[in-house]
Amino acid sequence: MARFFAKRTLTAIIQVLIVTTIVFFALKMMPGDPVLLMLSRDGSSVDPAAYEALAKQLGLDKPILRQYRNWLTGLFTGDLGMSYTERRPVMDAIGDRLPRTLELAGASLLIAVVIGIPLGIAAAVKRGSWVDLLLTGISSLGQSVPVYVFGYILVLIFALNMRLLPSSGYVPIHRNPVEHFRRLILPACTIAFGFSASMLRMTRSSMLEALSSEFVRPLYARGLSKARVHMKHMVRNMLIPVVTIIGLQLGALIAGTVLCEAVFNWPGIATLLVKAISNRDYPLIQGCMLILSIIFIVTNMVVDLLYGLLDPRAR
Amino acid sequence: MTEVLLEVKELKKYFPVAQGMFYRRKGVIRAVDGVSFQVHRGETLGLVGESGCGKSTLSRVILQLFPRDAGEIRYRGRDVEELDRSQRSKLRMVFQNPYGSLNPKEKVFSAIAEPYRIAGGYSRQQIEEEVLHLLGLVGLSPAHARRYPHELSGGQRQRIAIARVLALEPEFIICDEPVSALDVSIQAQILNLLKDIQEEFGLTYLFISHDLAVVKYICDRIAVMYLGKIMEIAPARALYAKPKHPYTRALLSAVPGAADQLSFERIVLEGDTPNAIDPPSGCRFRTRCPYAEEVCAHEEPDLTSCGTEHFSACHLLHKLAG
Amino acid sequence: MSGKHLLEVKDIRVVFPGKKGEFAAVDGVTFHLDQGEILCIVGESGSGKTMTGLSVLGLLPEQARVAAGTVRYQGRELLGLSEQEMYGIRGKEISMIFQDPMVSLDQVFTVGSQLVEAIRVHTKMDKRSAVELSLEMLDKVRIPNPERVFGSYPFELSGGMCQRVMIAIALCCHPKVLIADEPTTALDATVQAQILELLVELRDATHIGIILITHDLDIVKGMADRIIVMYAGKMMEMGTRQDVFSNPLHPYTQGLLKCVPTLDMPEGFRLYNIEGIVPDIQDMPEGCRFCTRCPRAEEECCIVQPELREIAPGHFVSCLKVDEVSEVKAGWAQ
Repeated sequence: MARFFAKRTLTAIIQVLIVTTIVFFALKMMPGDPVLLMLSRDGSSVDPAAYEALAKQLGLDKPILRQYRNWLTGLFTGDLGMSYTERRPVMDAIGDRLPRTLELAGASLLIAVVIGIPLGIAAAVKRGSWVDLLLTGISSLGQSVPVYVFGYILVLIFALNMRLLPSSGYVPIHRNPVEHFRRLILPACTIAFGFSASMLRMTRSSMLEALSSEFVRPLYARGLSKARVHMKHMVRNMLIPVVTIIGLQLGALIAGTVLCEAVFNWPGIATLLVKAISNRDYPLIQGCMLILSIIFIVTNMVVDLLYGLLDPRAR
Repeated sequence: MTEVLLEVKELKKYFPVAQGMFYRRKGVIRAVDGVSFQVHRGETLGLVGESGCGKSTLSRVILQLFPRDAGEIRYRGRDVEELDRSQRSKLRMVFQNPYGSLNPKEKVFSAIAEPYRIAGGYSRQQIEEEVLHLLGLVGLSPAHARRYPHELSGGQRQRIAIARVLALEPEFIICDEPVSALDVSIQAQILNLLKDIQEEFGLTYLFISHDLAVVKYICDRIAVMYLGKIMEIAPARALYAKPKHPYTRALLSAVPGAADQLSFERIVLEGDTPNAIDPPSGCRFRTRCPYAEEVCAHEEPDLTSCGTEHFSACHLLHKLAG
Repeated sequence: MSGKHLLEVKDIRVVFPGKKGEFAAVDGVTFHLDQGEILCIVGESGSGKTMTGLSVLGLLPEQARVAAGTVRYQGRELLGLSEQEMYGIRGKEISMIFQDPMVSLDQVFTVGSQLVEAIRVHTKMDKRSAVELSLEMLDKVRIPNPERVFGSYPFELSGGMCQRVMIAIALCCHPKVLIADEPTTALDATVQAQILELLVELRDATHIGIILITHDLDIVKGMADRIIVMYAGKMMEMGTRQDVFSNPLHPYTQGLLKCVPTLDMPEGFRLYNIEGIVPDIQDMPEGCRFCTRCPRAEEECCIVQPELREIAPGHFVSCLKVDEVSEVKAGWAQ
């Protein structure tokens, strides 16, 4: 297990390095000059001296490989540079926003797992019954409705009609925990709806596969009860593929937060990234991309490790 | 002794196995590890062994479905790689699972007609005549030509596979466990069919099976394989009456209900066949052999003569007389 | 048949839903099993031998149901029992092992945890004694190094080892009946011999009654005390090994014995052909199910269903022509 963990960590580090390199050079190829953008928002002419001074200050006058090296060394010392637009260290800007996105993604993942997996098991065990039909019906709806549509529907119902929850915004938890969580419910449920629908379907199909495997009858032949066969043996076998697919879908989950943050005005890292891109804020874009890819790679690694724990064959 | 049709000399086929994430721990499965034998025209040579002994790999290497790693395969004195198309069509194969060797979307007629179409030079009417003739030979009616493989039983599918192999007048047929997937009553039908067409067309068979009784029924000579090597090769009668190699004796001992008919001390083997990636040193069978001595661990025994056409690869031949 | 037998199965009929209403995959199967006895059920695929075994334990596929018959274990009727009550029978009183040991174990739990689980669902044993008993069982089925295998996952073991583990699990609660459904079909010849030997050894040591389901006549010949020959869901013949092998009375049994190559077959002997194929299970002849392939079939055979009749003590045959047939010498064995 330790070996497996070491191997997996090493690959993760290599993956992060490759991703950051690609991000760095891809950005340099993007049209648009950040210095120009910073000096003249309205497109008016720019003083060459001021241009040069700013370029030098930002380190953009150096050859591209040197810039890359500087950025890498900064990376290893925990310094991602200054954001042009935020006018403060990229680390700080991300540090503010990231927890909010993670909170949103985590809350939706939790809701999706708590709803999707048990309902998926129920649908599989009661295959063909009205319970199964109802659940699979709702889940195909959940998979096909886009986040922004469903988000506005929730807002209409719960915020505008019933006036149970606020329609959007964000309140820091230390200021007012109750308001904080009231504002978390709608966006988290929005993302969780689609996500739990796909989780239900995955759970259902891999549970059905487990139920039809050859060793089920031998388990009953030992005198095990139906509950034990289902809840212990089938669920353990079913979880193996489900955990993998959840891992693969975490990327989609993070993508889902982008739209959701926009709909609910949730000030997370996704809104920050969108703003940074439109401003050609290189250090901030690179920082955001780096953090997002690290999150992505680390979650995948955790999934792999979890997979190793669940499935002895993968060790 | 009649003409040698197929000669295999020191044939080797290794499969690389990569393990680990960066494909480091590399090993090699020695599926066929220095096998030599001859098949004479008109005879049936049986190849018996348990799963993983390399008998199926051997047949596929002979038919060039896998490239060989070393050794010679000569058909009528010529290396199989140099055979031209018409010569190559004389070498055919019948597989264990007839369903897998038939295209499920193709009717029986076109399955049997295919070899003629590929060879070319046959008119439509000629092909139809040939197909119906072949169907008759394998005991099926013309009505079967219009069916799909899934509409047929396992035995009928194997008959179709045999009919297809009989197209274009083959000389040498490799039968790879042709009856293992069939029920016993159907198995007898197919075995008899194989015997009949052999007599009728003067065919030569290499018959691969794990079933000693089936092999005894259909083969003239038998080679026993273990972990990629031939342990013993002898005429069928001699092999069953006076097996020389301890492994052959163990196989015969393992036939249920045969305990009281053996002419030698019964051997019940312990444990499983070792891994072909790392076969034991010296004699491969020594780790399970009840008679193994020190020499067996150090030297690999060669096939040595121990009777008329009877060869056995064992250091202890003289001690195990009887 | 009196009520003193360990297991008594009477007139069991297993039906499946089909194109034209229900059809019987097993019809009128009747037998008994005593302590320490090995009863072989032999037949080709589709003969209903596996379904017969499954019906005893109530493990039939979902679509199937037992439409008639009784299964009595030590005088107690099993067919009417609730699922809950069957939990106490399976593994405790009657166990079963299956054809492919490599896929019959749950691959994601260790051998040990599966053994301990099987022990603890039937007894109130604490965990430590269950572990001890598990190791003892692994040793009993001749597994070298039980401690290592206890902690192994099934996929780390060979087929032979897996079947030994299956046997250990099946026998850990000392059942009185073991149903073995083709237990060695997926194994190599030398491993098969080991497993069969083990079964005989265990039978001798514990007097367990074994129902051995197989298609392999060699195994039957080597193992059976009594034999049931099945064809297309029906019993064709039942008798002692002596009865069936030396004096087979049913034309199907006779054909079967002559169509299987054996080692002691004389040279130049030609295998007997049972012509044709098994009829579609959903479209069986009205009379004897073997009539389409039987060399002795007459018009009557295709209309009248033969009863299972006791021709000699313990020797049952289901054939209308049995008196004429018995005159014919059976096969080359004589």
